[in-house]
Amino acid sequence: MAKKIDMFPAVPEPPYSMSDPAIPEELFTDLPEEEKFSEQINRPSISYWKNAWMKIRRDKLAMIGLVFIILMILFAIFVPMFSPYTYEQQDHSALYQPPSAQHLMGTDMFGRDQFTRIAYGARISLTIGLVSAAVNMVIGALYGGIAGFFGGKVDMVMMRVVDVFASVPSLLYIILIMLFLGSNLRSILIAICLTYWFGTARQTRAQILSIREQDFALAAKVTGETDLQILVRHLIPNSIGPIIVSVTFLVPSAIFEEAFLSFIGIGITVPVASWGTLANDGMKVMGMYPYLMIFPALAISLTMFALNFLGDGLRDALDSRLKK
Amino acid sequence: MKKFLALLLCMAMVAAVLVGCESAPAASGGSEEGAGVGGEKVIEYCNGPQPEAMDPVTSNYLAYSTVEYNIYTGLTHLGPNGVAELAYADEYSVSDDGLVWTFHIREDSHWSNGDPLDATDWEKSMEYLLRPETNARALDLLVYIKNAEKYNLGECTWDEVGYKAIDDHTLQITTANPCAYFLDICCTYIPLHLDTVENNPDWAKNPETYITNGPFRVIKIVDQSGFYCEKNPYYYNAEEVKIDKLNFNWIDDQAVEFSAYVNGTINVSDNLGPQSDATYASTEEYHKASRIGVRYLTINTEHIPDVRVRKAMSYAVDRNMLLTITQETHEPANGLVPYGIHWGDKQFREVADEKHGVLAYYDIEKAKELLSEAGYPNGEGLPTYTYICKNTDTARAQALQDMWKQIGVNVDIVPYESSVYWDVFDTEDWDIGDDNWTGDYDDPNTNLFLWEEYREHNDDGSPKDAHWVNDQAKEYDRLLKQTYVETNNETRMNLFVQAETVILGDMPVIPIYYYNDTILIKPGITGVLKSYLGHCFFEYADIAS
Amino acid sequence: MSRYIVKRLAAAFISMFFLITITFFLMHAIPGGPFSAGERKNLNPKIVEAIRARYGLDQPVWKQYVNYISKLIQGDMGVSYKKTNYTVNELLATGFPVSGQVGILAIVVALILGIPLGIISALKRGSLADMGAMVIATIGISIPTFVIALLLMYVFCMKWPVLPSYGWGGIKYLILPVFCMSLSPMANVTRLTRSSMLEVSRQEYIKTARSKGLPEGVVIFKHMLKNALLPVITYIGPLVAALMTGSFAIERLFMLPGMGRYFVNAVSDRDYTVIMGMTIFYGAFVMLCTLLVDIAYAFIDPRVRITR
Repeated sequence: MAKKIDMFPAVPEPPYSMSDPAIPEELFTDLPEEEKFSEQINRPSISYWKNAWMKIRRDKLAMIGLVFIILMILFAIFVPMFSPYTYEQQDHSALYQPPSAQHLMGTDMFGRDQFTRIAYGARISLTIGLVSAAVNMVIGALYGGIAGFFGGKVDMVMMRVVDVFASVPSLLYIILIMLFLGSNLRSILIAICLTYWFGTARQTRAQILSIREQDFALAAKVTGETDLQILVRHLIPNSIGPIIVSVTFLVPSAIFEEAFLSFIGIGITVPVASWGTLANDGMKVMGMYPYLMIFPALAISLTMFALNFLGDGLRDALDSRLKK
Repeated sequence: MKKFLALLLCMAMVAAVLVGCESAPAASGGSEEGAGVGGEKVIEYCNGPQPEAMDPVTSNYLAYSTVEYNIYTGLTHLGPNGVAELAYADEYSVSDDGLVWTFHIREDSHWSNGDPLDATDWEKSMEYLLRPETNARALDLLVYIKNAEKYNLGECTWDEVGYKAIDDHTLQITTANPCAYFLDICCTYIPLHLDTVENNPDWAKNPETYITNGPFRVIKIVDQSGFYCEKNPYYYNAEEVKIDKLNFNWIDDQAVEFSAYVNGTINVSDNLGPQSDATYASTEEYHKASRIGVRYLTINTEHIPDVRVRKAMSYAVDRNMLLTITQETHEPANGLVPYGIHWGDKQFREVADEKHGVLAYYDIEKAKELLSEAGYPNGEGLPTYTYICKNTDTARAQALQDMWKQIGVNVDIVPYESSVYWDVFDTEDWDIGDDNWTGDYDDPNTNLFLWEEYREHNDDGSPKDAHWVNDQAKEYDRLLKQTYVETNNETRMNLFVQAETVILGDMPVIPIYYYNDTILIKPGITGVLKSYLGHCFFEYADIAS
Repeated sequence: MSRYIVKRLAAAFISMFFLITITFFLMHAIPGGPFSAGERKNLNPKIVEAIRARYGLDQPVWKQYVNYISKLIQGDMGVSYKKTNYTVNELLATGFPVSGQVGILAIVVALILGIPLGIISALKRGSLADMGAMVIATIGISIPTFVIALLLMYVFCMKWPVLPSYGWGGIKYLILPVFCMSLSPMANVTRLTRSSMLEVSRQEYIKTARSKGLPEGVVIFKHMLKNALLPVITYIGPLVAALMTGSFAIERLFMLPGMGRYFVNAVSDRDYTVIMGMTIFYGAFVMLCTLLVDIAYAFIDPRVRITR
């Protein structure tokens, strides 16, 4: 301090001060209107999510993906409601019709309208994809969060459990669970959820480990929040970005998994059909009635495209490490 | 970076090692040789996936039977025209009561390794197959032999069984009942090379120990890929065998088999999907033959007791439409004895239809009438029935569901995996069950015996398949019992006609279709015999050079 | 280091034990059994009983479990119930080389194609090349494998028959299956490379390298790629296990005599010993691969210390 005083002699009191009555009022002039708030942080504070949304909006591929997914969901909801056909209504006078004005995507072996069936299949496939991704995210984030947050023995035991699951051939377990519970939508969901969550759990744990030592977590502790509150209010929300991204990629995996189950013949039960079963049925008559295979395969592939592009966009937007 | 490169290098080395150790045994893949080196005549045959068991002791399936009858030959075999004729037996005689069959075994009988094959080998083989400890699976045709079943259950000694070598070249078989079609049955009585079979549990895995006596012998076995055979020079009729190599290729998927046939990797394709049928149906390469099998629905008559409802359900089935929907090439069925079973020179089917009229056909008006007669106009008041099937058969199930819906009968389809289907079937906890059967010999009994009430029993003696137990069933049993003792063919056949009339009059089963086998054979290949059992024989085949 | 490996191996053993136990009981819980199947009308129930007794299937499940474990400890995985002449060890020994070969080749192809694509797309972020690379990568994970396989078969085996449609033998039998199998890992490798290249490119040391005036090629390959490949290696660990143990769809369509087919067929046949054998093999293989990757990681990345 002394040195500093030596080098910079004391500055005299400023000649003017607001409180000094010696300065006449008229010397004060109003700032021009446009400069009035120049020091204020004028831009509204942008939350994490808003920021992400802005980034996604600039990402063309991601936007195409998002719009496509929304359209597909609307398609799944409304087409079966307003279609003149139902997914199971057979018409034996119109077997294997090629696409026409009456049947936009043709008819199948029973004369069922493929357009309606694909829309209905979208319900099944999208439900499988979205629900299993959501469930995975919840289970995985909580499990991994708890393990990462408490650390020590708890972490050790919980992660060994995850190791067991990770070394399991998931396909085998999905098949076994399907056989155990029967072939329906519910069993597929349960099977996929039971075998997928550990990936998310591992990832969340790693995230939590890296941020729980950061200052804001400590600050929360100092202000007297309980462990659970810290975990749920601070740690998980702060690590959610990368988790959401990886979960986005779970949606296509789940849809594929279901398609594969159809391929080996233990998918969803007739007459309900998912895209996987439709494509698989179409495959058998591919050479003669290509449209029976092309349309469901297109539905799957385009949705996968959309989901992947959206996932990539989300990653770019949500993962703070990827900021430019 | 160097370390990373080292890692990559390591991986590449692992790959190289794997490639190295694998290419040695596999490089000589059968299908590649199939091109026919040096004018060899090679059949590349495919009939779907590999049968799960690949030897005559543990196997039980049609797919293996095709392999079996090309590498083994019995006392009799199917001749070029598909009718049973003498093979390893060169003459035979039957006692007057039709029970004792004496076969003279060829003097020039040899195993495929050149060892002599005599009557004692035949006897010992049969003893081995029937011995309880062997646990052989395919025994259903051995029970024609007197006391064979008892011996298999450990209830008598071998001396009491009617299968004896009298001397080196004479084999005497005593049957339990007179049997009009015993020469057909004898096709399945084959000898086993016991020196290897008994002493080497792995005998069926190695070509060196897989010693047979048929027109072909094994030279290479690659599990899950193929079973490669060559002409057996020690076969008694070896001069007449024109094919040098016969390769069985295993292909799981019909679409793949189709592409393999199109590009010529295989030249005889026996597992055709709708696509192969549609592409080749109008060409000369496409061959269609009836097999003595029927597809039918079994109705649990305790759950659907009213015969009018059962009949209505049969009348509601448009069998032609059903086959159009499922894209199958079978024959709509109006009875339970399929085409391919003979009554003298004629088809039993045609004569029977003349005698008792067509009993099962599509007539939706009649179906509706019967339903309202039974007190269920438009199906009102009927419960929803449970229809069980394998999960590979749901297409037919859905089409049937819709057809029954037209008359107001509702069914729920409950599909099962094929590995649990028959367990569920045995529980009787269903109303309609999908079912099928392919017979074993050219006689109506091969199909009609299925509905005899006493066919299978539980441990407590109660009938096992009690789907059909009313008075009509008893009448049916009575008629069938008569056929076992009746020796006059005309009377016997008439008894079968009566039996069929009884069963179709009560409709505990709804016939759906008679099987047709379709097969693709490349031009130039002649003499491929597709038997009425669905087996493919290449003993008489030839390839034009 | 060696202590770490011992610790990991011990943990792996415990995991294996749980894996075996869970699989065993779950497998026995599903309806059906190895000898309840088959053609009902052919098999005499007494014979079925005898066969079941021979394999010890008539005993209570816990007893079967004890029997199985005690045999397993001696290295005996039993005989297949369905493929009657084969032991599980034999099936593994014949199936694994096939699946392993296809799997390794698929990974090599995926790396050879995927890494350059990822680099290009990261370096030209936002450009048409980036979009193109990402579209190619997305195709790989957007079309079901069986659809791709059948389309390729249609083109290369029927329309323009240059490749065999099925079978196992020389190089030409490998082309289609390896290609189909490499598509999805290739797509993932491309994505991973791209995103980690992007991340690395913002690091200070890259700026330093550039400002030192190093040629761009050196910067990319020596400084960026080396670090950007770390996540790819993490990804390859479990992938090696997954691919080398075979893909059912590919093996079924191209008729490769590999493990993937045994695996799914064993489940539908309820071939208990084969299911167990495959599970144990697969589990052990996954654990081994993960361990190897972790060790490799320590060698490549000095920041990672595994002895804590």
